[in-house]
Amino acid sequence: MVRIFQPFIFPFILLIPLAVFSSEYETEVRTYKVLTENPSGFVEVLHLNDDPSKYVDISDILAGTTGVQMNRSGGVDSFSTVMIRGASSNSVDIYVNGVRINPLYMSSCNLSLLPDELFERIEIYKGFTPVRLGFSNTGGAVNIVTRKGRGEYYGLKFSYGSFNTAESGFFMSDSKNESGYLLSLYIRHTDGDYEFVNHNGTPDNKDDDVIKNRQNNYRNEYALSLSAGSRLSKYLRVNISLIPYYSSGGVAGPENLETKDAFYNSLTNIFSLENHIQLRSILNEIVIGYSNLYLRTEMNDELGELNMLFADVTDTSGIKNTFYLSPDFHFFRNNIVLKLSYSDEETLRTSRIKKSEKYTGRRKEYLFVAEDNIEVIKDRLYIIPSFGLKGINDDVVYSSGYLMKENERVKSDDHIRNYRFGLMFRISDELLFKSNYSDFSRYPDMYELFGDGVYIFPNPKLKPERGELFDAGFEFFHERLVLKFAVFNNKYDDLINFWQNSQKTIKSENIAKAGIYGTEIYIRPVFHRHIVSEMSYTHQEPINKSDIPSFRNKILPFRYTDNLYLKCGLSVYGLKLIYEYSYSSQNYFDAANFLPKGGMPERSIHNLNLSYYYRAWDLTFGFYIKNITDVRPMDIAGYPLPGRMFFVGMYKTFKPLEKEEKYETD
Amino acid sequence: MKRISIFLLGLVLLVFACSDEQENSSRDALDDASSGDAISGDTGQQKEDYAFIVNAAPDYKSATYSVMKISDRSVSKDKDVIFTDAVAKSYNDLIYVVNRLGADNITVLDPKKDFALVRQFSVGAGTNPQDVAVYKDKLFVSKQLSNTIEIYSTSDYSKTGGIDISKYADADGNAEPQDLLIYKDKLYLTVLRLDKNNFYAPTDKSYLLVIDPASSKIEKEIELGATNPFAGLALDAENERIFIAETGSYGANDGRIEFYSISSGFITQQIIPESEWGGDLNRIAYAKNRIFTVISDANFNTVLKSYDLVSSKMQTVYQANGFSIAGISVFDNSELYLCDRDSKKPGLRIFSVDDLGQKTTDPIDTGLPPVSLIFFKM
Repeated sequence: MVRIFQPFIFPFILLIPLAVFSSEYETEVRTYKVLTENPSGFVEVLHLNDDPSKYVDISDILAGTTGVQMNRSGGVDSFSTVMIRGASSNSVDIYVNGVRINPLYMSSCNLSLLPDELFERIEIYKGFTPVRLGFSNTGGAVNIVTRKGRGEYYGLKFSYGSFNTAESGFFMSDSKNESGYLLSLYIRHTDGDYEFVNHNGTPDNKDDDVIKNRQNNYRNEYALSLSAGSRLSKYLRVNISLIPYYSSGGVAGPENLETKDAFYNSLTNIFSLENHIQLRSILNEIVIGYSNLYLRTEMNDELGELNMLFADVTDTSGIKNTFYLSPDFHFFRNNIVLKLSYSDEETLRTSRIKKSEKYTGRRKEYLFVAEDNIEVIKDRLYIIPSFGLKGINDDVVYSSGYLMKENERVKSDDHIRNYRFGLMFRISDELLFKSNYSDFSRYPDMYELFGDGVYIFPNPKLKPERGELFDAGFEFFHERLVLKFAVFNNKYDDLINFWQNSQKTIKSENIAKAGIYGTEIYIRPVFHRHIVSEMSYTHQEPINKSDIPSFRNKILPFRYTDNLYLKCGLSVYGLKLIYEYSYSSQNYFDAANFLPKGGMPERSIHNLNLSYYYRAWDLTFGFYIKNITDVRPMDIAGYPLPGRMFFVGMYKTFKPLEKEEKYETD
Repeated sequence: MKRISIFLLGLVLLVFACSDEQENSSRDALDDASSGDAISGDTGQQKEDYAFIVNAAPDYKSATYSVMKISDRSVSKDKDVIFTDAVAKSYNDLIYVVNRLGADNITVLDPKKDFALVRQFSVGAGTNPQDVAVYKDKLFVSKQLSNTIEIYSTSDYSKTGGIDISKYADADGNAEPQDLLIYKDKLYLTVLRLDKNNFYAPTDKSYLLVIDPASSKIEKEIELGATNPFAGLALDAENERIFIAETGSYGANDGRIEFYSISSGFITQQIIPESEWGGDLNRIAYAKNRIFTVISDANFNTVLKSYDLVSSKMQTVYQANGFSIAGISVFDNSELYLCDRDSKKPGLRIFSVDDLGQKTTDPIDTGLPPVSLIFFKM
């Protein structure tokens, strides 16, 4: 258990009765209603308000969410990945408005590239994902929903803070007669030049340590979001969304080997078009949709700074087209949702310096998923069986003459299936019990299957990773108290690791196993209308179960065993003062649990946020101090994180929301 | 006078009693090595033989060193963390750990003081040190991404000079120096000359340089018959020759083992080509007219082979599962130690140099899987 737990938690819990018996309260708790999809799943939905100073980047947004851990390589907008319930980041599917954006080449998604200023909410699915998103992955899913129009509405946002971090955003929306649109523009820059200690590659010799400012750690982001929807007839509603965003910046390198020129650019475009045909009969609705994902990156290490052994400029481009059909049926006490989809994704990687290095990969996926929400006892007991089947067809052509012969082609065909049995029991109007048992598969990505033709050996016989997940818990929703409790026990087999198979090459193998069990607790009491309070705690035991002697029974790398988040504050007459505390226990950088020496120490981060909303002008000012005590941890070996940061911001709407003229886009 | 004599006799007896106590202490300390506790050097007894084992995790994300007492094969496992790509050498009762690209430092340890840190110093970020050699008070360091063999003082580890080898650089501007061998007042250095812009493929030629360590002057350059002497050097002191394992290009079977005669200063006619070995040369060792090599075949399976220089007979000594044999070292001209990195059962295997039989039924557990080892006395 967390040593720090006691001083904070027990008084916190003792105050809960105050919330129950307090005569004044603020009804922030949303009324619970049975979801028509994935009702037994453990889902967190983060609604993002327009406090301009509160969030610095996506890691701040996700802080405090049970079961979720972010790993970052540096400051604001640095390479960031997410793990859910201890599962590796390459097994977590990332969606934007229902479009899966994990790159085909390497499935781990860098969340810092996403324009978080455009987000309206983030849905985190721990375990089985809803049918409308598609095939469940062994690590769960994150669906980011961008802002949608809410009536006539213009907004401007500015913020500025440490390390010359500046951002501005403009929002414009309008709606009329069940049609509407929202246009968002957003730009952000950071120098990322925070102070850190350069150990000069000699961790045991402090005499040569130097305090420096991080160099070549800048980042620029530009994003646009256009979403529109219209009800064309009584039966037909159409939604369209277009999100191009561009990110460019330096790649700083590890602390003792900083770069000056290496940089990384990324251009992404997400397009989706959905037609909702609403029949409201046994066939309730059919969704016919198309999405297009375009991704282009340039990793420029022309001077060989990042990899001293090789200088290279690698261009990667990918395009994915997806067509899908999703009907849902209501009859008797069944709500059946189906999804059939076909996607075709192609990736091209070229090296500008080693002109012979080239790689073209193409993957076609055929997907069928089904979920039936069966109301066994009316408004009480629901059983939710789900099933998914995916066919995969891969085709890779190498043009490298080093490891693979020129124009050598490798093909493979395979299929995987998932299933889940869920249960949701409404004990009372406020209390729910949920439980799920799932059997998942994660199909290897192109990098794991086919390597890179140079140093990563192909292994087309690689098996899918397997996961067996069980979770159970209850959720209590009261106007004065939200309480969530869950336990989970996940087992993973055939996990893919890379192994050296020759003097110069490595190869992926199904060689690892893991068992992760844990507990999640979330409490949000409403003591008083002017008091904000929230607590989340996750305990997990992420254990390596491989037959590899050096790894067996060790803690999986980068995973905390305990994570605690507390938030409390006051909200009076437009003035809001919020204090946040987060605690993460010791963890290790490596599977053998030797690094860093003695383990990465536990960390406590304190944040303070002060904002003021001036109603007459519909204007919000905010001031944010992050990491007040200037803790300097690392999530990844050799990549120090920034210390204390300050931000100020302003948000102004020109035509405040008068009435919610909502058009249905979800 | 009589009282003084008795006093002096008592003093002498006291001194001897203390010495016994110290010897007992050191014996206890050495015995304690079997339980993994502190290891300290003796102060007067005959020195014992030990192995300093460099280990690395199967994924090469972390590394440690272990220490094994040769007499009873007891191992003090994972005594401390080192860098993930490291080699070790022993000179003048000290252990020099060369932590390569990413750490780029030399770590000096004192085995007599339970491997206490003597000094850790950077040789230049990103320069990728490869090997070290000590001659009197000079520490020579070869670095893959530097055309200077740097010289440090062994008293305070300050840089005192360097040997310029830039004339041996290939078109990419690097000479890629690697192995250093000190023998009879001569320093031998392999220069690989690989093409950094072509996946470090060998270029047209590689060299063995003969250097006078006293003056730091290059006395002789010997162009090798094949390229890329990556697999290292092995010394036959009895016959005054050095075996050079030249890997050439991987998978091409274009390498060879060449014989350098120390007395004549030339490469001899005798060679053993890779085609005869049956794969790429990875490591080399020598004992009693046998050359031992680790070969990786066309399917990247590693095998330990022996070539008898008298009978010209090639034999397979040990066939591993996959690419799992790492370093080999000869102890006392009688035993060959092999680092087996098998994923399920890693450890050290010991073979007889005379009959090539394996002396270990199961690999000796070293903690993390072993990569290489050296022997030293303490």
